[in-house]
Amino acid sequence: MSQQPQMLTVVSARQDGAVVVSLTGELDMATVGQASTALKEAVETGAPVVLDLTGLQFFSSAGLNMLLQLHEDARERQLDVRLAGDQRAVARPLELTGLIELFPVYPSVTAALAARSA
Amino acid sequence: MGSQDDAEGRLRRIEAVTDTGLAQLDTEKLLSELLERVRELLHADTATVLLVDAAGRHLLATAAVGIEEEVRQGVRVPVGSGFAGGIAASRQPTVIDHVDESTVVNPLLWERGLHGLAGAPMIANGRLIGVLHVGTVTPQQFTGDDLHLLQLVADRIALATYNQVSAVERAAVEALQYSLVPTVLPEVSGLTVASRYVPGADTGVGGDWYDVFPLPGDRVGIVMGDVVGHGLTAAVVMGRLRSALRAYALEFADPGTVLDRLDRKAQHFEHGTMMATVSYAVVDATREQVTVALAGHLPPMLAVPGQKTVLSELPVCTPIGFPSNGQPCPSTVLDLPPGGVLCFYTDGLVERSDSTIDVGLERLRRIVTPEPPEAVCVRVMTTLVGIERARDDIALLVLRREPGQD
Repeated sequence: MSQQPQMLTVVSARQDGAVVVSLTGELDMATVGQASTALKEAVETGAPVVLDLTGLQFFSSAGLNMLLQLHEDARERQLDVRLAGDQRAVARPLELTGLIELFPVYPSVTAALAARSA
Repeated sequence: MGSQDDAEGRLRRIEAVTDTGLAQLDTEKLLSELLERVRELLHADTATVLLVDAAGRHLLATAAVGIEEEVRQGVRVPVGSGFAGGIAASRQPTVIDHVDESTVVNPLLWERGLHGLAGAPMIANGRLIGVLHVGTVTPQQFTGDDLHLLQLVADRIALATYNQVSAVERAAVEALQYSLVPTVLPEVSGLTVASRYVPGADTGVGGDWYDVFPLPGDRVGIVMGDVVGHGLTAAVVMGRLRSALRAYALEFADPGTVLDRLDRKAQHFEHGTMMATVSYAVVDATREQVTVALAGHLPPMLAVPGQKTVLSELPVCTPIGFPSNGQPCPSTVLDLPPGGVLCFYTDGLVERSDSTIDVGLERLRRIVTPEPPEAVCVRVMTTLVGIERARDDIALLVLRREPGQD
């Protein structure tokens, strides 16, 4: 596993009062740990969270557990969580696992933020 | 020079202990044996190994010489507190020259009359395994050389322990997995069933399982499930889900209801700590219809003679254990003509890091045909898995309604 470079970039930023966590690259068993850590920190700020998946080319089943944790942590704090990214690589796994029902999904971060303030 | 030679000589003796004849000892005996040597080498009075627990929050005294009561009393030290806890948190070897409540949290250490302590973190494969420390009742100071030697020993013990613990855990998980996933499926009239289970190369045995059981009224239950996570925890959760599902299957006829009950149980008793995707299907007495419910699980492939094989796009509810939106899990009835095949699988079969799930599903769809299940299993495994071991574990179950006589 260690011979492969990390295939995921995680960036957290404040935007319009929300924490936007952007994942770029491939989300799988090897990379999901760093994404989970960033989401945990985002939830701890107490601000609404936008999980930006628009830059993901690959979303594996490892991402499901990450979403479970995010949903759970956000629910405890009654935080609003939105997903940005409706490309097939992301939408298809969410659809197949029924998780699409639980998170509002928007095509872009801008749309997710706009819908939130509406 | 003299002290260097001496140190090397001492190290060689440690190596002799760790390298030979220890494979057959269990972890505790191995540690006691090593600690005896360490104590002797460093002219110390006590030597203790504390191993970190699975959650990484506490150190548990696992082996000790000269202060055996630490183990007998099950001493636990929070990571980050006191002497051993501080070493675990900082991962730095440390020496202290007085032992009291300001420097250590474990009263046994000052009650034992210890003056000085030297400790080193035990790290293997980048993972903290525990802390090794030695103590002396005389006001003797531990030197930099002592600390260096202690770290070398700690590294060796860490590796030996890591290998042993992971070997034991692997063996336990495999025993559990293979006892729960049937290798011989029950004979069911009117159906033929074949299956495969392969542990993942990166993850070892995980939480994938399948199950086939007869139900009242000559019906047949078919389960395919995948617990998120790997190792012993996932295998234990899988065992619990498997039993619970069997129990609900006897009580409720509708597969969606069975999954709802399973979900309710999982959420109530294992709140937020586990998640599994499960597919549960019931074949009716005539074998003409199969009622399928999916909780976050990939839908089965349906291959019918004379037709194109399809991914049965069924409605799906959220995974088991996942806080759901309260919607009941839907059941869908599929017609299974004579000779028709249903193929259930876990995501390890269709997920590859170089392609999206669509690509994997399409590859599977093309090779599932309405043929005898054993032949379908062989073809699927040869084509999709081949000679390369998959990273994640894989479960596959193929059932076929026997072709009609006419």
